[in-house]
Amino acid sequence: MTEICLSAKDLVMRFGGLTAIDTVSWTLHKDEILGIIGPNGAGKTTIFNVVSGLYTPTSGEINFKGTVINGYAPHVIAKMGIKRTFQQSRLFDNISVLDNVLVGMATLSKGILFKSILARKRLASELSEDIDKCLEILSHFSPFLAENPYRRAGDLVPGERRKLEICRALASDPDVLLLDEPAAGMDPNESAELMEDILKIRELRKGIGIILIEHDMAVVQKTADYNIVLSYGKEIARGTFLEVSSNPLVQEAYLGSEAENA
Amino acid sequence: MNTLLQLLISALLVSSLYSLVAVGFTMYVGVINLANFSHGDTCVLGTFLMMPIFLYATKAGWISASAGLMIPILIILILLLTGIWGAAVYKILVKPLLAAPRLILLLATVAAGQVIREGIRVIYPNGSNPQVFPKLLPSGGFHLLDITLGYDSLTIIFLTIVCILCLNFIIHKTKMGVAMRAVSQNADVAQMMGINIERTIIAVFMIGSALAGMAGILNATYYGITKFNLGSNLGIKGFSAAVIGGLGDFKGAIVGGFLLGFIEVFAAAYIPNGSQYQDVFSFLAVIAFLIFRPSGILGEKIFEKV
Amino acid sequence: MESSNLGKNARFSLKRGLTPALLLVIIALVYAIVAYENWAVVLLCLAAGAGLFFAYSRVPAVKALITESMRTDKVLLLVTGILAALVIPLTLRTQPYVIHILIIALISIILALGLNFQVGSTGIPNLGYAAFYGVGAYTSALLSTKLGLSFWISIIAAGCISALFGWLVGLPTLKTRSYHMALVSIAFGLVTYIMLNNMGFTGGPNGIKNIPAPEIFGWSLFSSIRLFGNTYPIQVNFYYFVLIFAILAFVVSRFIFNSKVGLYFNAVREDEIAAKCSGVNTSKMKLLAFAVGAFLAGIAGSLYAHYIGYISPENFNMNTSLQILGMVIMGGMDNIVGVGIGAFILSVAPEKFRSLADFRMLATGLIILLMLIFRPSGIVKQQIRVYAGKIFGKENALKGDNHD
Repeated sequence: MTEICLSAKDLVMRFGGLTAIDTVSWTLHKDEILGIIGPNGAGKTTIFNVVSGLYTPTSGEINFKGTVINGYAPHVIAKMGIKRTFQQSRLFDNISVLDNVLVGMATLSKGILFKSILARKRLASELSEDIDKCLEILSHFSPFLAENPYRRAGDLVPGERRKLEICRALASDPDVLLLDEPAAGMDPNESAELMEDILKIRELRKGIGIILIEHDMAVVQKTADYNIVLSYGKEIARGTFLEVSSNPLVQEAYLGSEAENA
Repeated sequence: MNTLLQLLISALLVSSLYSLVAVGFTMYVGVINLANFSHGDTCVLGTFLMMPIFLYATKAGWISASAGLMIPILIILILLLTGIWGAAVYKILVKPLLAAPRLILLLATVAAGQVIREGIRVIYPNGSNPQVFPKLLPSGGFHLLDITLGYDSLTIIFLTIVCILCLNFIIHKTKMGVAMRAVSQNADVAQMMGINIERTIIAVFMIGSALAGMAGILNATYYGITKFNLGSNLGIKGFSAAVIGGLGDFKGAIVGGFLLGFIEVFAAAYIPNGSQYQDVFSFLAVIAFLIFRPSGILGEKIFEKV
Repeated sequence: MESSNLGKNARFSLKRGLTPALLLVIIALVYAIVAYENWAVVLLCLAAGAGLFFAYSRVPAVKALITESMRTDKVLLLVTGILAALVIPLTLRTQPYVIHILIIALISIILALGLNFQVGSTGIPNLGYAAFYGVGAYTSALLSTKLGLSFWISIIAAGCISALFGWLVGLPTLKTRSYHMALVSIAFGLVTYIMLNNMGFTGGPNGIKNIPAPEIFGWSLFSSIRLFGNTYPIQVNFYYFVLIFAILAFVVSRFIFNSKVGLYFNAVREDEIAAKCSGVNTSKMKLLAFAVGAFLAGIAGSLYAHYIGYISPENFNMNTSLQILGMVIMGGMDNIVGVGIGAFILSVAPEKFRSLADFRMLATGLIILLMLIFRPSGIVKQQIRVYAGKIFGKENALKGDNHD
């Protein structure tokens, strides 16, 4: 039985009168890719926001490597080893590709001001190592990015933006990676490449656990080991892709909402 | 006891003035998510537009010593002028910068405020000095329960209420108001529904500036003077009131205005050397709110989507 | 990569030394503008300068030439600049007022560099920066006049107390959005001004007089010096003195920009949420930006106080804050060289156009407005951080575009 890296127990998230997440639980094991699927508005991104520390859960427990991380600050959680991407890529647009990934490393924090002025050699050699590592990560996912490290991030095309965001998240060797609809807006070629990339992440970082929010069922089918289906904040099914896709409740949740929107 | 009641009236008055400024300010925040730092200076601009026109009207004999009717007409004229000014500000300054990062637009309104302020000082004869502002409100008053209720204070409170009710009417009962509310919730969808965004924003600027003009005139006529640099102070108070009450909400602006007015009047009265530092109290109150309850008393209506 | 480029252009041997020569031309133009009272000369030089700038920004060939030359002649450029800065005051022996303008410009550069950390690098709209400036000036002035402490203790105290003040002011802003921050900054700017104006021990509206000049090993900067057989006005002493601080401020700013501190500042500015989720302690970085920026303001304040010898609350009001802000915006946010240029222009212009003194604040406001509408990126645009040179163990810069 592989080790559990991240788990949630009876997670509830309420905003005023709205219950975005209603008693949801899951376990994520090392080397596992967990898919969270469900129609829009089901609360999927909210789960990511809670796990990454942007919101404090109303009740329930999030357990990461044995510690309950409810209410921890986002940067602390990130340093502990949980990184994420965003539905609409949140890059640091006005700085370079390389700088974006360097921020992702966000490891150094003690005395950086002192070091930057009075211990420049030491800082520079650290930076030099960091830069090498960043370039290496970039080269795995996009030769274009690796060869253009000084390109302004805001000038990239959407496909490269996604890759850069993933590289930034991986820069700190996280134990858990939360991917929020990485395939949104992609054509079949791009999403095929994305599937390769997701599997590549698992190769590059042994033991990483990935939670994937996706609408593109092809991606989910190919990459996720296990799935949880949410609708209106509640879990309505769980299982392998085959199991959930043939579940009538799931079908109704998707088709039902389509009918409403029709 | 009398002093307390008197202070109460004073506080009501100051609160009305601040609320009016805050409400005007909230228009920009609520509909287009803009903190307009030139709002206070627009208030002052209204006063400086009023003075020459009033002088001319008096010289031309339109206003006799006890004139009643001419004054409201003049005021409406000024409101129109400030409204047009607002539209001009939008066209020249805001429109080109709507797509830019918010910081740039914010700084631009700050610079615009400075241009208004210094422009007044430089263009208006003897502009650096305080100017006597004509008495537009009825003088005298009556006694009630041993306190004096000036007609001017009552008129101001009354006019403030009228303005706010008018605004309320516009927002809730007119087509333009509906458009504004739609744009404030979701500009893209509003546009898809056929709402002319530009026209709506121009309306916001016109109404906001007219409210500023009104607030400026009321403020100036009560204290009897106006000066080119009163705008920064007034604008900040208005902004503070809006923040304390809860940005984006008109009710919040009024609540904030009242809180600020009361703090200022009572602190000046009861704390030794208070009046010298009275602005300090308001600002400290604002800072305190921003630390402990940034969303204001009634809660902010703006949130960032993650 | 560099060698191949040089080989390509080896024919143009005049390329070598192009930018240092250009720099000398620009310095000569600026010198003429600042030192001459003759308006014809001034306008001519302004026109020449505008023409150069126009050529640089609109004609790609010129831009490429200059950018390339800047890269290869970096050291020569620096040396030329510093030599010029050292030599110029010696030519102004009979014009102490011009040297005075230059000193004010240097102090403004330090101020602008400080504010740049907050507004330019970290994206915090600080509209009350003069408060830090004032706190530094008053701290230094009070320590030396009331307690008789030496200038050197006073200036260090000024910097530290200002930094502490900056840190305290930063605390309420940690959860705030940009317009809340703008408001808080205006509020504390005004509160500081009102307090300085009303408190007894700060001298109220009359301020503090007779602030002693700095002394170096007992030699006061107020004594005139004799060089090469000529007597030089005391402004020259102060010029070199402040120049050293300005250069230090410049160097420190550059170190910070090129380090993780500068990088994290930018991350906070670009997207605070993404920065948090990437592991950046955004609160700590914001407080740091406040403290560092305030520290520089404190140093500048102390220099100002001990140079002019007299300070009052009017030196540190909202107009001052806006003027410094204008320098940062106009020069180019988060660009050290740009900010320096902006500071120079906006501190020299009002002094130069003293005859239009009344219009100074109006002109500043208009300049900021026009810059924001037509060139919001400032005179010098933001540069991409490049990790190159021996210090990183990389002899050649990594390939890639240099976004300009």
